Amino acid sequence: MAYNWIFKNAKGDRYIWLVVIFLSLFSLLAVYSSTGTLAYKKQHGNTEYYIYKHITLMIAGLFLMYWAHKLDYRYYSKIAQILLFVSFPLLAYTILMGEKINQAARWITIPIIDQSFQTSDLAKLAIIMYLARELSRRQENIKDLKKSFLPIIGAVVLTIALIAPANFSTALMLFATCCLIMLIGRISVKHILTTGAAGVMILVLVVFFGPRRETYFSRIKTFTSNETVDKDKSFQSDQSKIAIATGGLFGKGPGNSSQKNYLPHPYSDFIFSIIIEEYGMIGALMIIIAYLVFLYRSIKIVTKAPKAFGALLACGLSFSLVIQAFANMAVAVNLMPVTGVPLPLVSMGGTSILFTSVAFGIILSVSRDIEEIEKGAELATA
Amino acid sequence: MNIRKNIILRVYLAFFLLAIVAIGIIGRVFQLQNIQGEKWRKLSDSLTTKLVNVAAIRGNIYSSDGSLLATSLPEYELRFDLMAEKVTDEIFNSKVDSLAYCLSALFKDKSAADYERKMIAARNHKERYYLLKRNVTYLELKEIRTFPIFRLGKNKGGLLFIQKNKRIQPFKSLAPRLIGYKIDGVQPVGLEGAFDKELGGEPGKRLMQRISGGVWMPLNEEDEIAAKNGVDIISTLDVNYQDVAQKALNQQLIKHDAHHGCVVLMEVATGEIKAIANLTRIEKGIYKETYNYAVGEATEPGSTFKLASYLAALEDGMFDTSTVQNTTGGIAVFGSHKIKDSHEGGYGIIPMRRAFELSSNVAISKQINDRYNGKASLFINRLKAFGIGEDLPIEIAGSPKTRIIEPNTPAWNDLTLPTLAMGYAILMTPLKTLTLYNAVANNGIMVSPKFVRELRSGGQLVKAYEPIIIRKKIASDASLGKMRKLMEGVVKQGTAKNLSTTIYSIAGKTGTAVIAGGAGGYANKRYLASFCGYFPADFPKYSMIVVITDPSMSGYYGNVVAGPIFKEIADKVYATSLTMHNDNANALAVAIAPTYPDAKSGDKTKTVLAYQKMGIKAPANFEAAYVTIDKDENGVSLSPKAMIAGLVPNVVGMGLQDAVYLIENEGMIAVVNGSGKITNQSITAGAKVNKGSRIVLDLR
Repeated sequence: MAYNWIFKNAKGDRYIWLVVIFLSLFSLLAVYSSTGTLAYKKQHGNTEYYIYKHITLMIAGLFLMYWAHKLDYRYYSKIAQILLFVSFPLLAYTILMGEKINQAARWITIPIIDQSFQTSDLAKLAIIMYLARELSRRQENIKDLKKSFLPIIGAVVLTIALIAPANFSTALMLFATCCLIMLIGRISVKHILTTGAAGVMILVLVVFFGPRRETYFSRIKTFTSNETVDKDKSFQSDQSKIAIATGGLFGKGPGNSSQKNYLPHPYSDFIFSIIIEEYGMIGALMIIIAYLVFLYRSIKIVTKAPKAFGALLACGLSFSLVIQAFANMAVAVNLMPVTGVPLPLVSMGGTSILFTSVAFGIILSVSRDIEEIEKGAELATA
Repeated sequence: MNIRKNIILRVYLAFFLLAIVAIGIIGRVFQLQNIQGEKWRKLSDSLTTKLVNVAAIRGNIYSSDGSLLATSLPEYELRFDLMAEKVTDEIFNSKVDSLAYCLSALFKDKSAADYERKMIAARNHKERYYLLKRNVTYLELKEIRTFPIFRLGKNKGGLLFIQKNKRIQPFKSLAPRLIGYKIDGVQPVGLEGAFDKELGGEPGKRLMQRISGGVWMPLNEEDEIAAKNGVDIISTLDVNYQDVAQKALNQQLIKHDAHHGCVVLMEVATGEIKAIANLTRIEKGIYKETYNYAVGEATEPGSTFKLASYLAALEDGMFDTSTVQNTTGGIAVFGSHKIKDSHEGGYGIIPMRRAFELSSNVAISKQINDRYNGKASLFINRLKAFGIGEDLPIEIAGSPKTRIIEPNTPAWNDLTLPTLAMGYAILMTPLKTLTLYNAVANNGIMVSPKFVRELRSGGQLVKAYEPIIIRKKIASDASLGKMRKLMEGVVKQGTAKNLSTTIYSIAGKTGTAVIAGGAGGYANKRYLASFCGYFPADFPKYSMIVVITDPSMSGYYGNVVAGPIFKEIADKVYATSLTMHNDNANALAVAIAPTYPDAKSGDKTKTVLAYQKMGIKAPANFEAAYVTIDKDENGVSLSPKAMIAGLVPNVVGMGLQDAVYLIENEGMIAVVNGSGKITNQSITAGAKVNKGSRIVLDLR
């Protein structure tokens, strides 16, 4: 039923839609399994509390995705500009007034509906859309420092500078993603490398002198010298490794994770470990392949897109999402120091699901447009 | 190359890069599962969790004047993980002898060589949960943590300890059966048993993880579900009255070499039990509290029951106190049975008032038998109207039912009515007899005895127990007034003349019953001597019953055996109870001069905090667990209170809880007198501790 409905009404790349559905179903299973401990602690054992909340957000996300993909993607060029201008004051407000979790102000609460959301999610979406807009508009003089590079990098640096104080790892990841998109958008390699070098210098300064340096130190130290640090500090990554190792090829089966009791945020930051524990290497492969399929289909959109904006919009957003996904996985398998990034469309993460859904919707909107052009071409040749 | 192709090339390149990352992640998963898999799976095997109950702290039981009657002290069980992280061969082999020496020196229960041999054997068996010692006190534990090997650190040094709470009664010998106990698998007794749910609180839950060798470690810093500590019980007992009652009872039991006895002191208006003592002979001259006779032993009450007979007859208009009765030479014959007066030859022709004062059996049994002839059920129903035969609504368990023989049943015979009139052919507990007397003293309002005044949690009132009224009016004021006059007469010119005082007056009734005992039946001549009454007679404040069973020396009459106990207790209660005197001088004598608030010596941090809260400077720039407090007009000063293990601590000036804790920690037994602050200790501070020895603490 729902399947048929989607194929009738949803336009755009069907494979991407399938990936969305596949990831959502996985998300339901993994989140339900891993919120048990949290439900026990905070909801007096009402284990359905979190899954209902999650389902509500996922359905809301699907609606947003549907509407976002119905909108002509050209509008997103203007919307990008508006969103970016909105996100600057919001980020500044968050730093000054936001709710502090783990000593970092990342959240603000929307009045009236009383829903808190992470402003960096909004800014991330905005800056990537904005990059697509600016890069496509400046393709003629793209290698020019003053005409192209400086205005573009200016917006990027401002955004990142506003995210960094509270959420340094997100800022860092966003910076890398932006560099990649700029590279794809043909910005001069020389300029990007210079920026990169400046970035590294700032990175070093922040890590050693920033306000949250203690957190960074311990996380990095834990990562680099696992054997020598205190057992309590490597606790998270050890528990994650146990989850992965005990999962084996086929996993312990849905709901049978025992590591969910030990891992902090098993429903978001470490959901990949729980998935491997319950569904094994097979589960891990399916998730990774799903993201690669999504990325590949997005690239197909790029190759077919008639305009640079559509191409850059689709590839910028899809790369951003997949980079985030792989970063989450890299943390879970301990290839990267512990940092809190949700797995797009899979983690239980409140409003970040909504922004992810909008990103998918925008990509699908570009895809829908291409489909219609192709159909038009077919009709014309027929 | 055009722009489009250039971009597409770059996109593919980026895709390729991310694909490599994907392969890297999969490779890492493969590595964790297959190459390092063994290590992590092994770690996981030890990670079993379970939810463990966290015991709530059991509430205390207090007397009505705030003395601690029962409390819990922590106690530990010591275990040794011989395979702990830092207990290497090198360390173990070089230090085990000194550890054994320290343990032996501390506990003095095994030789050092013994300890050493056993620990080496345990290590050879790779034991991870070797039992070193049970019932270790907190101070001992603190010391043990500094011992060789163990001082290597929590968990790493191998020392494991499990906390258990030990229930203690600081006033060991005071009302132990009323305070009672609650031990798993044993019939619960007293308040501990009756209020087990309230005292016990609700256990919390904690997620525990098995780390190794069956050792469980909490997973999170806080309990998943916090334990709800038990509430405190404020009993109605008064420590001073209880002490007086017990001592008086003990003395008299020894004097008469009686089998057992009990005393209950009750507040007339409220039914609050101020003292309840029960003593049983263990061997000649030594009495201990082993059974709550007052609540649990139903006997034929004897002459104290005449109160009920007289009151019934007065209410039913059967006779008046002036009605005369011939005592017929001291013998009344009912069928084949004779009833005798204790006075050989009887009392001649006397009014019923005098018959009560002299406790004539003949007079009352003849009157009741004649007047209620053919209307026995009228008499029985009247008794029931007094609440006789009903269970008391008391909290503690174990009270037997009152047995009344009903007319027109096989157990009823010609002898039942005349003997019931003088307190036989019925079984009831002393507490029930007292309740009836109390009602007469209380203008006919029958209140139930009660043992608990209120429940408190952290000082906050949880529940107050109001007096329970069983009957609003058991008889008319006229009858009650006559009964009270009769009881006053008993003391003024009757069987209990030895109880009369000039300062205040006692009213009551003696009882001397022959009790059926063993194979010999009544022929064996065991006696029950009792006295039940109230004081002061003109304005009843307290009622009291004294029952002595089987006195074998120096007489057996109620006035001789039970009466003196009644009088001794009544005298002391009267002397110390301000509310019974009319002069307010004592109340006004409270010092008006401003002084700095006094505190009991005790725990340093708590004391300093208390003074801080009051905004008083009490400098304490030294390291000590306990402090002594000195004060003068200039303020308060604190000084460290030295506590050296093995030496008797100085507890003078401390509160009872701190003091008993310290003394029990040293392995001594605290015997407590009085309430308030400790003013004297029987063993001088600083003396070497003799484990198991008694130290008497006087409190004021």
